[in-house]
Amino acid sequence: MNKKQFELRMAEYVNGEMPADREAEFRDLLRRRGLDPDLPSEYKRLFDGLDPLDVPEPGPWMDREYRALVEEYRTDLRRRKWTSDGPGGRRGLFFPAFGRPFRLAATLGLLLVGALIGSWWTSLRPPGGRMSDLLAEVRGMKKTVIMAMLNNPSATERMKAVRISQETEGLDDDVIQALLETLDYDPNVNIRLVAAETLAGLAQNPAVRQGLVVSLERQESPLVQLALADILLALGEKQAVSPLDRLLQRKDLDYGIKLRLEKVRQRLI
Amino acid sequence: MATDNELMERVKQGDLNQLDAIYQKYSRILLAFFYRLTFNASVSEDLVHNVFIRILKYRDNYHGDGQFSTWLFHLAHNVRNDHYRKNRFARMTDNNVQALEIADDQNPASVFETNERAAILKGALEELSLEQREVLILSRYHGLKYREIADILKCSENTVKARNFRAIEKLRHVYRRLETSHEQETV
Repeated sequence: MNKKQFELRMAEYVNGEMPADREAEFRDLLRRRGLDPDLPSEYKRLFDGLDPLDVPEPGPWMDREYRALVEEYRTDLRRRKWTSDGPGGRRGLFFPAFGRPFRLAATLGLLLVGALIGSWWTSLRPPGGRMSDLLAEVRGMKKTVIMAMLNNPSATERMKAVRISQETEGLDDDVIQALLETLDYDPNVNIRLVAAETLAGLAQNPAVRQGLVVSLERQESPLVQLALADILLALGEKQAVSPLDRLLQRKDLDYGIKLRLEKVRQRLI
Repeated sequence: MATDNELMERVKQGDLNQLDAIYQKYSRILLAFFYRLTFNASVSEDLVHNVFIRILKYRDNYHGDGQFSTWLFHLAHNVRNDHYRKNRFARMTDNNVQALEIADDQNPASVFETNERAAILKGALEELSLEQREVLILSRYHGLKYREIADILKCSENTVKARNFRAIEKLRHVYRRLETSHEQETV
């Protein structure tokens, strides 16, 4: 019996997966190798005797969040069905007979018309203004897309919107306000976390810093609370001290989270 | 009463109300699994939610061959992996012993001793690798056999056995060392 076989036999024994006849054979083998034949029992006593490690009862928001995520999924399903090509879908309703080829032709036609109009319009403009106009137009389109996606019932679309915002320069006040609202009110904790990261990158804006401070008390999720506390500590934002004090008074605050928030508070003052 | 597989088949067919029964049965079991991995109650609750998000997202991939619990724990294992890869904020454990709560009919000395043992075990478990801890928790606290754990973790049965043995071996050494240093501190 080599070391690996010894480990595998011991593992089988402690987990109650060694038949009785093999157990006697195993102990005998240990004895003949000069090892303690009671060694398997010692390991099993340790294994069985491990403390139960009582698990704390979940907080009231665990079941609430579960119901919210199921509801959000239902909403997303309804939205996807509505925009589908199939029965009951909006596209199927308006273009039942023509389907994809018609829609493709219509899209290409619209693009061509748009290109012709754009070409005529730019021919009327002085050359120097065209590039800046184009950039402004792209920025405007991006803003429209981000705002629409942030209000989408689908969590996937809202997450995409936040990620696009991270990569976009020159976000205006409307988008920033929408991101702050996402941080405060989006039902999905992962989206709120990414929104916090995105807003951290915009913290040179006083409205963003203020929004991050205010959001600290609004959060129920400990992950987001910690993320915001760490961001505000990195920013050296002393305005966060008062909301941290109020948050630390909450009776339902997890003990580990409380310790961490106290450390952040100490370092801020 | 419908089996777990039957309930999940109905969820797959679009009857999302059936997920509630699965949640009622497994949410606390999953919470215990994550808590014993992370020792953080709040993070564990979030991870339970992530598992149910995945159940909904991947319900079309559910085939119903084998035990539902194996599929469920496999999702939990993946959630655990993603969490430790992405969430730097959540890599924390509640390292502090909670305030002792002693009921009137309890012996304070035995309550103290229980909390001491729990604290020692937590310290010992934190010295295991995540893979070793996961296997130990699934076998010791969830009573799973190595064949099922191997199916959950998508590895060989011998790999699972080896990890469990090494976890116990390490606990044996660490437990002795922690107990010794703990006795020295309390003298």
